[in-house]
Amino acid sequence: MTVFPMGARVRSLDRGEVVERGATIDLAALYAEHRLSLARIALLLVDDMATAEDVVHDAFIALQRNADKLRNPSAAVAYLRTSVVNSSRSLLRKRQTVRKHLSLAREEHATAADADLIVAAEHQEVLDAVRTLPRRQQEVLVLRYWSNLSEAEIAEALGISRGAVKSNASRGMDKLETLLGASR
Amino acid sequence: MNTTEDRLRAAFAAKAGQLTEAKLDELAARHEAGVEDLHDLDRGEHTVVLEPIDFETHRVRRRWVAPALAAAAVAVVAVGVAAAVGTSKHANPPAIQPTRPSGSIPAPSSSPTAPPSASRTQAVAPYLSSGQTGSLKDVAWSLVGAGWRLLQPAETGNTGRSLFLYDPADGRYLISDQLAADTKLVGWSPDGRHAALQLPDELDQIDLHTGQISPIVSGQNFITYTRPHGLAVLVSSDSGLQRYGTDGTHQLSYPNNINGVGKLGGQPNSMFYLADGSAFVTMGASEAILLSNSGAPLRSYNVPAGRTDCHPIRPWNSSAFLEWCIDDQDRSGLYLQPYAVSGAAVALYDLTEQSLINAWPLSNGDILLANSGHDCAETGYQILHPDGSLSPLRLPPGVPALGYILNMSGDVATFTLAPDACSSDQYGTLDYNMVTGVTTALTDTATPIVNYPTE
Repeated sequence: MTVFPMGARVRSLDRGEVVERGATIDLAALYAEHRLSLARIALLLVDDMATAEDVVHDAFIALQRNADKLRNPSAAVAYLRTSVVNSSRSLLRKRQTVRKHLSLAREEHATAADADLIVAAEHQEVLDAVRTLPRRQQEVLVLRYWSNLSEAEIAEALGISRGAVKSNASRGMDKLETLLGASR
Repeated sequence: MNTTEDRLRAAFAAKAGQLTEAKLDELAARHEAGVEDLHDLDRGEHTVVLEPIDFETHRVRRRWVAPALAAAAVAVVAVGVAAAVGTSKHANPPAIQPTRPSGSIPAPSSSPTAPPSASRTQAVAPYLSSGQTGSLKDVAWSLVGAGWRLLQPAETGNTGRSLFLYDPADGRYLISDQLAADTKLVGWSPDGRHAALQLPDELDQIDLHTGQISPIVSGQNFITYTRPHGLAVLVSSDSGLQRYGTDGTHQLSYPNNINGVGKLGGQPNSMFYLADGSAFVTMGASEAILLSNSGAPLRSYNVPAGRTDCHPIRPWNSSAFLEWCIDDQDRSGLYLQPYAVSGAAVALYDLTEQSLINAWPLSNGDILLANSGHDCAETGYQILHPDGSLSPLRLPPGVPALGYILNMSGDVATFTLAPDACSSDQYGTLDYNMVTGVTTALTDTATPIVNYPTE
């Protein structure tokens, strides 16, 4: 993972304007406008602020490298969103695999940075329940109920069919209802 | 009452709202500082000084493995070589000639107490046949040793959860069906007779000969039994690392700041004793450390160049242990290496492009390597042969691509079976003898497994 100093981040993005098919991707503007919303998606997926910030930064770096491959500059935000979800999933998968094999839990370290920020108990109960869902269902629920994306947008972000979005959302909500003892 | 959807939206908003522009700037600034620290790092502090190593035999050429295992290379090198190449993960693969040293490598264990690997499939009476269930009175306790396992299937019977003793032929013996539903098997005492059971608020011990359960301590999480006799347990809680006798007597509170480590503690298997019980290995501030029974630091194991956060995993043999480290510039990279307890020459299993997260020696001289999966893909397994070549592990029939190794006992890998790529659900376990190729269905549910404590 490439980590740049904050100044270098901004400077590199300033230089990163890319013209493609007559349109311009202003990376610096994209960064300013979308980094927080993307970081919040990442936070909901990885549950760690520092990692979320890294994931988003890497997404922008990836965009900068691949901007010339984008068919439509207006798709840059969708590209970033997909990149954030994929990176978060990859990171979680890696964490999970390591835990399975090593019986070593690093949660203490992972959450330490957020220790001063406590989510209210009733919200934490819901978030804990979400964490028990399969990865794909978590992603669908975050994009649907936090990012307010349409089924089509979620399908594009996750690279799955709209039907799969629908079924994952339904199964996820059913499981949450069971876990939380509430009605939808 | 709010609907589930309302509650979900509110919870997401509460969590996401913690992250503000200011917080993002702060995090970015931390990363900036981290990079500057790296620029100033005196790499010399991390240089590992080694005894001479024989490079003449077992020469290994890095190979690119099958796409299913990702475009990655696992190599075996000596620490000296690794230190010389530094950030070899970014190097051009053909430029590196990693070599597996022979003489000074902590070789895979061949404990005198360990049975021949083939014994699991050649087992005869008095073992039960695979699938047969016996009772406590059927156990030939004098035979219980390496190759025997304790398993705790997830299902709950009429009276409670069950605990089974499995012999090397996969015959099983019911030790108890009286365990509370939230009990989890976490350890097997070096005395061979007792096992530790973790409940949410209590640590218990069960006498395997009688099925009798007795409490050890409340409010503490099990880490490990002491050695050589298992007369005490190391446990942890918010107050740090403690030692209790198995009779519940508090024996010691370990200092909460040894060499700047902070509170010691962790999960089961995160620390382990030397066979003689004189000291134990655990994780220090960023490196593995050896502590005496009283908590006095005895040795600190150098972090190889380019690595950080080295965690001990488990003993590799009587004189070495296995640990994994993280690439200090790529937090997602993991590295695995045996490390001599003595601090002397070590061999480093160097991961270049892929995350190597575990390794097990097999009786035929091969070493089974595990690499973490990518996204929702399967964990990658490879066999490192004595000649240094690598080959992907072909999963046995009945194991889906997403199965992963839950436990190794000698040559026998216990695979979990999972239904789909991103699911944490499991629907059973299956034994696979890596040397003989024999498979045996073990349980229908996820199952904590603990091996007989041979080392």
